[in-house]
Amino acid sequence: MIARTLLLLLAAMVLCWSVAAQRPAAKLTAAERLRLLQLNQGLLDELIDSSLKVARTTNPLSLSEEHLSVGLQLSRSLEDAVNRNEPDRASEVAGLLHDVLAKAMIPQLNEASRTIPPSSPDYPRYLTIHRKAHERLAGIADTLPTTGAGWASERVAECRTRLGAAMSQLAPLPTPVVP
Amino acid sequence: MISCAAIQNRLLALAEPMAVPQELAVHLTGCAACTAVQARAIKLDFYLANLPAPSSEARKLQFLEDVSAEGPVIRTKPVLPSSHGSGQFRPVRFLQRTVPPKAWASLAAGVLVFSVGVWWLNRPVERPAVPELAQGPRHELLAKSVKYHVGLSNSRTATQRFDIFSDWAADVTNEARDVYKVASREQISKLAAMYESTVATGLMDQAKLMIEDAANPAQFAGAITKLAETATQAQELSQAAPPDAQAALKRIAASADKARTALRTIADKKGA
Repeated sequence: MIARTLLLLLAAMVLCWSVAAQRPAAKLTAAERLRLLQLNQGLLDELIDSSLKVARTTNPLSLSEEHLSVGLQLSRSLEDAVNRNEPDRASEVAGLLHDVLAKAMIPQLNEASRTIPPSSPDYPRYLTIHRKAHERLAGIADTLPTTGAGWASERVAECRTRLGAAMSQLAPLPTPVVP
Repeated sequence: MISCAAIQNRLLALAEPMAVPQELAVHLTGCAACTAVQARAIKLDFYLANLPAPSSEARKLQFLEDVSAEGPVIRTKPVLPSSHGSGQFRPVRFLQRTVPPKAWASLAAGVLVFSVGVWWLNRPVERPAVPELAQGPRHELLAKSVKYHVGLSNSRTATQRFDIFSDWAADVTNEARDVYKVASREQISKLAAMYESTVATGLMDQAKLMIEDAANPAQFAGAITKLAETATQAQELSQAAPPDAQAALKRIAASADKARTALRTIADKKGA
C-alpha cells in the first residue's frame, strides 16, 4: 500500500513537472514575419552573397574579408537599433554579430596574421582588413548603452560582455616596420 | 375458420376480458396460445384497476391553492431521476460502490501534490537586481542564415557545404511559404532570388566539387527529394497565390526543378 501511494505521488510529481515545463511556442503571424523580412532584407542579401564567396575559398584572408563584410553590416544594424532605442533588437543583432566575429572572422583573421609574412604579396591586403576590423569593431561592445530603459538588462549586459570578450581574441595589429 | 390472430384481437377488444362470447369460448377450450392471451388481458385489467390515482377533483383544488399561494411557485429543486430511489446520481453511486475509500484518499493526495508541484514550479521567483529584457519576435531566417554563413566558414568538405546550402534553400522556401499571401511583388521576388542563388550557385557549385572529389553521388538523394518537394509545393501554391506572388513562386518551383534535374543527371552519370 505504501509503495503504491509513493508511486502515485511520484507519478503526480512527474506529471506536474511536465505540465509546468511546457511553454507555448511563440508563433509569428505572416505580417510579423514579413516585417522582420523587410527589416533584415539587406542583411540577408549580404549573407547570401558573402556565403557564396565563402563557399568557394579556403583562403583565410578571403574568408576573413567576407566575414568582416558581414560583421560590418551587422554592426550597422546594431547601431541603428541603438539609435532607435530598441534594446531587444540590439541584443538580437549583437548575438548574431558575436557569432560571426567569434566563430568566423576572428579565427580566420588570426590565421591570416600567423600565415602571411610581411614579405608576402598578400600582406598589404591583410593589413588593410585587419586594420579595418580593429577600427570598426574593436569598440563595438561599447555601442550598447549601459543605462536607460531596457539597456540595463542582464541580456544586454551579457551581449556587451560577449562582444568585448570576442574582440579581445583578435590578434593585435602588427607594429609598422620602420625601413 | 377464424385465425388465432383474429381471436386474440377480439379478446383484447373486450371491455371485460373474463366475459368471453360463446363463439370465442369454444375456441379457447382447444387453443393454449389464445388462452394465454386472455389470461394476460385479465391480469392487465386487474393491475390497471389497482393503480393508485388521486381524485381529480382533490388534485385540481390542491393545484389552484399552490398557484394562488404567496411566495414562489417553484419551491423544490429538480433532482436527477434515480431508478433505485436512493436519491443519488447513478455514476456517483457506482463509484462509491466500486472504488475503495483508500483509493479516494490516494487520489486526493495525488491531486494535492500535483497542485503544489505546479504552483512550486511556477512560483514567482525573486526578481533579479537587473530587470530582464523582454524578448521580442526573432527573425528565424536571419538567425539561421548567420549560422549557415559561419558553418560554411568552418566546413572542410564540399559535402558539408552542399548540406548547408540544401538546408538554407529549404529555409528560404519556408519563409516564402509563410509570407507569400501578404508580401508585395518585390518582397517575394527577393526571396525567389535568394532561393535561386542558394540552389543554382551554392548547391550546384558544391555538387560539382563533390563529384571532382569523387564523392558518392548517392549523397545527393536527400537534396533531390527536398528539391522535388519544393518544386511541387511552390507550383501548387502559385495556382492559388495572390497575383503579386505567382511569378515568384513559379520561379522558385522552376529553380528547384532545374537543380533537381541537374543533380539527377550527375548522379545517373556517376552511376548512383
